[in-house]
Amino acid sequence: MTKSKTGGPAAVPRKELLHGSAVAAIVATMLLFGAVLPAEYGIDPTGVGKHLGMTALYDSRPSASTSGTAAGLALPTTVQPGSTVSATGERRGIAIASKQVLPYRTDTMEIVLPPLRGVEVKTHLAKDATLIYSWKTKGGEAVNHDFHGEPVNPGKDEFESFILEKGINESRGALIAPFTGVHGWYWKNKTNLPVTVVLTASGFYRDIYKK
Amino acid sequence: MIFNHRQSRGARLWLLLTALLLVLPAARAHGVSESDAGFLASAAGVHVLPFLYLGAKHMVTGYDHLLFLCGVIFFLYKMKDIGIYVTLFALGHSTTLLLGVLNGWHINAYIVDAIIGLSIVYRAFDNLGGFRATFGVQPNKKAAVLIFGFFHGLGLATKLQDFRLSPDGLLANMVSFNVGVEIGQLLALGLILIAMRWWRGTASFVRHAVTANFALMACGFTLAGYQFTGYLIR
Repeated sequence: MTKSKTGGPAAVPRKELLHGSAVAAIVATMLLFGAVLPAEYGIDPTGVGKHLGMTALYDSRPSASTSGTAAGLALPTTVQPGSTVSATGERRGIAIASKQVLPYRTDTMEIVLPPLRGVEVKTHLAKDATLIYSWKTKGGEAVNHDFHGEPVNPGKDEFESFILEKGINESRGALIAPFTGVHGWYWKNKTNLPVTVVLTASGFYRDIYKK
Repeated sequence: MIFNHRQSRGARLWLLLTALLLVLPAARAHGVSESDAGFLASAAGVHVLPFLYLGAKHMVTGYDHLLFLCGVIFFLYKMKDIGIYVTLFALGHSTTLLLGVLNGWHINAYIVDAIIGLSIVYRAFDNLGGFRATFGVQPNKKAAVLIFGFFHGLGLATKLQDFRLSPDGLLANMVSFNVGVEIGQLLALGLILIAMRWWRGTASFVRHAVTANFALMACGFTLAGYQFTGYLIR
């Protein structure tokens, strides 16, 4: 077994070579399934990782959650972890950046509110998708405004008001949807005459419609 | 006597594997640590020494580069040969590191790291004369080290670009990082050589050398599987 010359690589017999390589591959597979995959990714098809306490390493990792990829239409990009970029005299905020699947669109609508009645205009908006708007009443009349959203099939009283305003004739705002659903505006006409609201909306919503 | 021999061989193998087990979860896939990432993202202008340090640190703590180096110099006895191979490796990874960062190449880090894992398997297999024994050919060893050097450099470049580097002073900072990588490689190489010299001096080196290369293969397979799984699920 000392046929390897000094200074040269070992010349291992073919049989031993294949045998050893196979053992190496098997050992690697055992390590992967017994330790590395459970500890690093929480993948544990054999259950061995859990038995050895390896999955606990993964579970206790603070950044282990891969919740970033929502099943919805918006795909959040990985915002740089640990970034410290900030402007002088300011506390850094949360970076929310997401790639969008739906095309960007802009719509302008005129909505007539009958006397003493309310009207809703809604959009279908995916979680993490953005909606930006601006509206005003044509004649400068004051109305009540509720910018809000609810899931597609809401339970009883299941909705959320994002912006509530009373007695105003114009408003603008922006929303990054916290949940997939129907998001939009409600205006209440408090006068005895019809009021026309001119709305401009843009963003990554699927559609916009009067309810 | 033979029984004894086998026993110590097995013991060494297990020692190596245990060491691998301890190292894998501890080392963070040789990424750049979070506080360093903060520095990299906010560093505008030329910062020679910090980038030099980060490059050296990356190399000394990057177990995949170290395992590959171990494989490369395993049967190299002459300083001249060691110099040639290490220079080829440095040439390879410097080329793709600089080109990759300057041209903004974004190659999937998991794929690159899986290939780096396979480069360890390749070199260990080659060390055992595997290509001649199984296929009857001996691929050019120098070319292999250069080509795998390219991949190691792509890994470095991809990881550095995960942090938005300021374009201000980019070239000087990149060169500093690269020089740091070479310094770190020389430091690591020095340690590996001291250990190898001592080991080669022991009577049973030839027998253990074969086992050690199989262990290197196992490490390489493990790294490749680890990174390839990452590619599949992330």
